[in-house]
Amino acid sequence: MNETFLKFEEARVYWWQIFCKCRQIQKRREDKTGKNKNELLTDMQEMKNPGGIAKKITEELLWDYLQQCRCNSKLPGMPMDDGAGIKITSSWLWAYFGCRLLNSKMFSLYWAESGNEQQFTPQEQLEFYHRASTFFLQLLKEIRIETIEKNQSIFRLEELEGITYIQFARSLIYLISEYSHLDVKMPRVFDVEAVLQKTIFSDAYLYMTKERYRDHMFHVIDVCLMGFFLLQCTLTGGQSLESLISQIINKDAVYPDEDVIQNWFLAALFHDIGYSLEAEEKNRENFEKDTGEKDLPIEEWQKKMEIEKLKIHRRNLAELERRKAQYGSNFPLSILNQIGEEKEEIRQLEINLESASNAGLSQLTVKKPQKSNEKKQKQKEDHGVRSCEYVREVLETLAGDNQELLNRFKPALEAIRKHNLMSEKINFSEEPLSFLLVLCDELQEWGRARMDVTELREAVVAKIIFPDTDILPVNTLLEYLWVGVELDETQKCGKIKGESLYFCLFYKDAVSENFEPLAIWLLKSYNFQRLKLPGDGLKIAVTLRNPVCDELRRDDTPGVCEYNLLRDFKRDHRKWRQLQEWFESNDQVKWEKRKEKEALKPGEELLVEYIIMNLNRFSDKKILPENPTGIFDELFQWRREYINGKRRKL
Amino acid sequence: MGKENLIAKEEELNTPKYIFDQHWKSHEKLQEIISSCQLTKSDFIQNLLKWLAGTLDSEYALLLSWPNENNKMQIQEASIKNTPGLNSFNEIICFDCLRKKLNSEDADDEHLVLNVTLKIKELQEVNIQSLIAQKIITKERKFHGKQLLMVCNRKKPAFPGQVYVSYDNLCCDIAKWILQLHIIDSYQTGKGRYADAKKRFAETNVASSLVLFAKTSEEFLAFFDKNCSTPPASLIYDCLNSHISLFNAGAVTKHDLENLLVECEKHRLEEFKEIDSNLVRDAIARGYFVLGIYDNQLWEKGRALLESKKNKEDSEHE
Repeated sequence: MNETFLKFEEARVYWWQIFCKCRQIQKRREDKTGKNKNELLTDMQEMKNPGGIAKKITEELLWDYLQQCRCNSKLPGMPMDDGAGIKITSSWLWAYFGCRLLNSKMFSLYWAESGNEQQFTPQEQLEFYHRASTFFLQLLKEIRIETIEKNQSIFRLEELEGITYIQFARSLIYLISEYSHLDVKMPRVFDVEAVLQKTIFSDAYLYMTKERYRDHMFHVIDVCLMGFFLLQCTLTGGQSLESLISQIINKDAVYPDEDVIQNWFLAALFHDIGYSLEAEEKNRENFEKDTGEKDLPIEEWQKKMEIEKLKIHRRNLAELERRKAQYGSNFPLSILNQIGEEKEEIRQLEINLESASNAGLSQLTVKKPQKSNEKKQKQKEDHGVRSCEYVREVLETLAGDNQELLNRFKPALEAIRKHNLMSEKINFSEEPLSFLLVLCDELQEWGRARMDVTELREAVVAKIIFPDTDILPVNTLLEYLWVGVELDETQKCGKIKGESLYFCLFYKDAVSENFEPLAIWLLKSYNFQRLKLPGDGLKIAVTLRNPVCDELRRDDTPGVCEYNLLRDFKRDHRKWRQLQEWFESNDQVKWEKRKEKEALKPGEELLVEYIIMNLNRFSDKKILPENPTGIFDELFQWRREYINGKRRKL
Repeated sequence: MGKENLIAKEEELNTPKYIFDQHWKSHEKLQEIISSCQLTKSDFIQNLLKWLAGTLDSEYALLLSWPNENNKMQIQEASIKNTPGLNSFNEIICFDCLRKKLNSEDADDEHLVLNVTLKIKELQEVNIQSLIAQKIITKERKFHGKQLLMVCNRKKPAFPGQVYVSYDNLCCDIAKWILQLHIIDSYQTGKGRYADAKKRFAETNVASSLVLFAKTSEEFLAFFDKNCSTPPASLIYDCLNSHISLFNAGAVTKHDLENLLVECEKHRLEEFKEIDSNLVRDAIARGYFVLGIYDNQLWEKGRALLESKKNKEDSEHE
């Protein structure tokens, strides 16, 4: 065991101290032996000391981890000398957020003001300590596995630590939410916690109903944190990107700098809420169809839904317990986690319902915007537009006649509305936040598991009938995102060198992950071509790196790669109008092929294709006249036939 | 034991040899035996053999005879017959010439031979005086199968190298030898079982393999305790971690986990290297915190443990 491992254990034991104390108090309350308020305050005082030590060690560990993820990459089209950058993953962003949290106003308020009844009630403090300890325990565990055990599943006793995935997700949501309200000063009326909690459920629904759906709960969090990291980065001369954007937004210097971050958090965290609304609407339609109960008040309907969910989770729990008993002493330990998650869900739903009977359920749920029906017709039910409408409605309720407040959040509203409308142009010099949202939304691809909906349904049915524990065959496209930014030790933030921001998306093998690189190239090009970035000032390039997949590396197709296939398809299918500009616009999109060392197989070489997109030149001319999805069916069929040998000719 | 000595021994720490040395030095009963050299031969042998039989597992060590009132060794017929497994001993090595001059007072200077192999019956026939039996299976020593070591009542019996030693020393040396072999054997068995279980758990991740892993790590830990030796910190960590996991899974009671924590706390943490001591302390504290969910006093114990560590660190900084 090395010293770093021991340091992780040391940090974690102090978080355990806090976590277990919270559980103890919670248990006392459940057993109705709960202490009175003064005693609870004393309990809170006991968290302070271990909290201080945990904070110190955790901060060191997290910062070490952030630095360990530095990675030099010599990419084509990148004029940087050393190629210094960072591998960005969810863990990295959570660790970055963890560092910010430990030094946040939120932490000092909760920590330093223990016992100050004016600021927080003991119950609120208890929630904070519980969530913070859950988050850091799990985060440190993940990082330890990644850095020390190199992701090898050598020993996963941690699975029995009693912290489930759902508890971690809820804690992350809680902390992001509190940070948004206390540090970023986003008004509490935007109930970030309730909205993100809702996404957990809508993700589950949409995975089961939409073809090759990708998650949105962690996506919006990661988009938010990535943008937050970039905004904190400094440019040459020490100015931060946040400050640069602030100058653009506040041309007339009406708003303070902090509005940039405020707008960013609102835009990033709420940009995909349209999906949740859609899922909720479909749920309601189904409910009305099944029960014949129509026009129920929203609170009542939501309460009924919560009761239904509670029934389902109780049933699941009983089923899991039965399955565990069926295995005898050889039950897979993963079942315990599933049982823990079901218990957590049941607990949460019971709390929700109890609060609902006291104070009404509306505070815990996402309300359907009243005007959405009229608007959605106009915008063809675009989820970005729906999200924007929801946020606008909340804002209008808050602002009343206060136009200034509405104006303050205008950049966020516009960013949300436009982020999925391909016809809307976005100029960095006018709408930098909208620009940033589209960029981060496109770049956040890691960890977004996809699965064929039929396969998923079959797998779920199989899992219900047969007590197997096979992992679902999900696909994740991206290995990681590389960002050409250095870390500044003193400022604890990123440093953009030479006003140039380079990104590279490192994709996995297309065949094994079941995706089409050509679709990604064309869709990203199409989405980015609505962005306008001035030629002077900040430079941004996005590179897509795809290893040539196995099926193209066969001996009978030497030198064939995706790019060549697309060219041949264009000629065969006479797609000059749709694709010719894309091939000819080398200033905007450049293709390059390289041989690189195979990381997993020493001594072997790998053929890699790079698509380099220079965003500063994207507005020069239109490189794709229409949405490329229209040609995908033909293209994929042609590609399949080519690989099967039907299309090869002299 | 002083810290310097520990550092000097760091390389051999936790090896069977080290464990044996620790045992030999610290075992109170053994100290008694060594100091009992003033006793009559019969008392001495009796004490020694009793100690051996007690120290080694009973199925391995057999005391077959001891001197009678007249200071004459005698065969305990009943013992031989009633000792389970004795008949399966297939080879006997004897440290004396058994066929002649047994108990002869004037046989002091006679060279003794080692290569006499006899069956139990033959031993009885030649009126063998005392035996210490030990089941030894260690490849390193080139012993194969079950072998029987014997101590005979002679004033100056000899080792194979024909070095004459005193009777008392011979007994002690043989006892040491037996104990050493026993420790090597137990260590390797315990370590092997623990390592296999750990590997199996990593591969299968099912409840029964976790139970086995927890059990074998606990047994291996008990082996160190029994031999008064400091176990490796990683073993204590594994043992605690697996038991805490079992507790979370509802497979171990609060009482069992608490007992284990108390046992682990008995290890003098100052005997570990600093980082190992911290690892063990953190793992124990974590166990108390987990139990503390149900009992605040145990949570307080965990806190006190961490605070003692913090205070120690603070005083070292000062």
